[in-house]
Amino acid sequence: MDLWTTSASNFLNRIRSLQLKSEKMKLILTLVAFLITGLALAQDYENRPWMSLENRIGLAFGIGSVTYLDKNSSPLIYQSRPKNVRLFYNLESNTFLFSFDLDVKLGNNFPKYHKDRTLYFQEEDYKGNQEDKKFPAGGSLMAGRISVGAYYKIASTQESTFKVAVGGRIMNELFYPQGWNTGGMFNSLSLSPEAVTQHRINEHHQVTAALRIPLIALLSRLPYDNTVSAPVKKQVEGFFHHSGWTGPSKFLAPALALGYNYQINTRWGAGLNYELNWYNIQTPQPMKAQSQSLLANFHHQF
Amino acid sequence: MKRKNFMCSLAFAFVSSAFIMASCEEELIGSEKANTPTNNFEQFWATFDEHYGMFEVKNIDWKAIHDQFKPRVNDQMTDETLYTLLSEMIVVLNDNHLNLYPTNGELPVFPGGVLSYRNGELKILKVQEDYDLEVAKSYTEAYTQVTENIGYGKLPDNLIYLNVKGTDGMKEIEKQMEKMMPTLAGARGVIIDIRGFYGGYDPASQYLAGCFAQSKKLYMTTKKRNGPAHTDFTEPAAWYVEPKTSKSYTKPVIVLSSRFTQSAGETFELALRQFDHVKVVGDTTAGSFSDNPNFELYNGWMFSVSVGDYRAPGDISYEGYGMPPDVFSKTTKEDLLAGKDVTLEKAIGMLHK
Repeated sequence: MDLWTTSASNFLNRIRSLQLKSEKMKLILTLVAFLITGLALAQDYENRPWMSLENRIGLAFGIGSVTYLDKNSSPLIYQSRPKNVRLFYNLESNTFLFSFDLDVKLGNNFPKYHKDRTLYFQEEDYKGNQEDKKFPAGGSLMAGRISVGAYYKIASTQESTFKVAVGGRIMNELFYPQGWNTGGMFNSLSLSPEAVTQHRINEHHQVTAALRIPLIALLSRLPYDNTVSAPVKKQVEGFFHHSGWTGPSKFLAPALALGYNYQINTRWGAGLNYELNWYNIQTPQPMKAQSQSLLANFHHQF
Repeated sequence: MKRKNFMCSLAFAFVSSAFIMASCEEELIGSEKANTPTNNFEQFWATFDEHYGMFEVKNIDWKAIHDQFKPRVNDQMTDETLYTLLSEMIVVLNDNHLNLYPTNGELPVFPGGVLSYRNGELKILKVQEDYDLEVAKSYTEAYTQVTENIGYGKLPDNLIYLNVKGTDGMKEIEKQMEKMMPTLAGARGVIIDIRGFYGGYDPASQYLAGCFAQSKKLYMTTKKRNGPAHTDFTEPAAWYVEPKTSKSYTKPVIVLSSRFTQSAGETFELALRQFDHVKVVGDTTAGSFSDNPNFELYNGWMFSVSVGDYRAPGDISYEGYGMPPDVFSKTTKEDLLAGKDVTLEKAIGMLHK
């Protein structure tokens, strides 16, 4: 109980430290924190030891939504409903957790309030041939990330069913919208402290929650002029040419993950993962984005 | 009972989290302004104000343009009226790189266009009447398309006709030019036709020009807007053209240009013009060098904005004017219809001399 009180308190302090301007935002995040806490406390502990060394590899599929407003190139809110695939690997020992995941999102992308934009071209050649062409001005979104995390269990014993681990995650994340507008594009290589809690309710059910906030990031964005051309540079080089180290003042990206796992047997399991990412990027002009995903996973333990 | 409670709690946690986050999107992302003609006009004007790179070099008082057009704007105006008004504002800037893309499917895309005064009347050239690749190809033998935008064929008397329509895909250009250079090396002269070169990627044009470079030369400096003031620019970037392939072609080269040669086509020509073995034949280019990314309005319409100030050596800006050829030549619509390419014939004649 003391542990949970401390954890909840730390979590709330973290939220406060974000110094969010919006009171409503603070309220919502606090509610989410209480929700997670309450969920875990509501369950009974079961005195069953954890495996001393456990490998878990799995694949997750799901859906998501990405919404962003990138004022560097557009006053319009863009929205995508991408399909989401994730490959993950976890290694757990008595004192450490290690995780790796590769996550890819692919979907369409369009301004939220102008989903069916159509362009109309009138073409004519010198022979007098005229042609009217109409086609949709659609777009697509590809987002991907690769990350590794390592955590130390600060509150667990061989017998406990509740664990809290703290550590860090190194993550590279790419947002690559394609279409008629260049908004929303960024790449970040970040280092985040992360807190992970796991609660094993019984031999079949387990819930997890994790929260991370990047402290430092190598951020690549299109510059103010929204172009990449530069002498002798290929387009990708031109994009990464505008990279720079930044902190939470210009790249604030807290993420919250909730998970439920059902252990089918000692080898196989399945589960659900929900993740919310929020991005507040202040360079070269403000961009805010929200990404949510809900995935069903299947994993194998060995 | 415990299990039931647990599953209920779990479902509640997932559903409520998703619901809360979906419902507070405005808090997390922000909101759009109302889609009204007034807001769209102001957004259009402000985007140019904050991003257009040539107010100074073209000596344009953009605030005065705002004051001139604003009285015609009201929230009752139709899409068509707004389209006409914004198009007129684009014309004032005399910039072939500015396009307006209405997205309601009823109004056509407005090309900034090559401006032309004919009989005292301002017109926008929309139809190219001085070039047809098929006619040009009829002068060649064994015409081969080596990339999507680059092709070549043999002309009589050991000359090569090289057509460049664009410079997208730098990697492919590098690969194919390395293969092609030995073929070019044996030719007595090369005619590079860029009359249909409407744009591409400047560094790829830089590489391609390097295939015909004798030495390293500065050919362009560019700076781009990096802030809201008209004088906010990045540090100038220097663009050099230099031999790029294992064997550059340094025998006589004639470049064919047109009023429709623009953007990366013009930066390509600008690089080639630095060498004495290159001559330009044809018409003045479009005069639109700068990169021109797209921006948007609250009604979903898009428009491109030239964000840079590109200069030739000597701090010369050809924006809005275009680069004049060394030798003027123009193929007419009637010539093309008769299967004749007068400008290409002139270039062949010059190389025969």
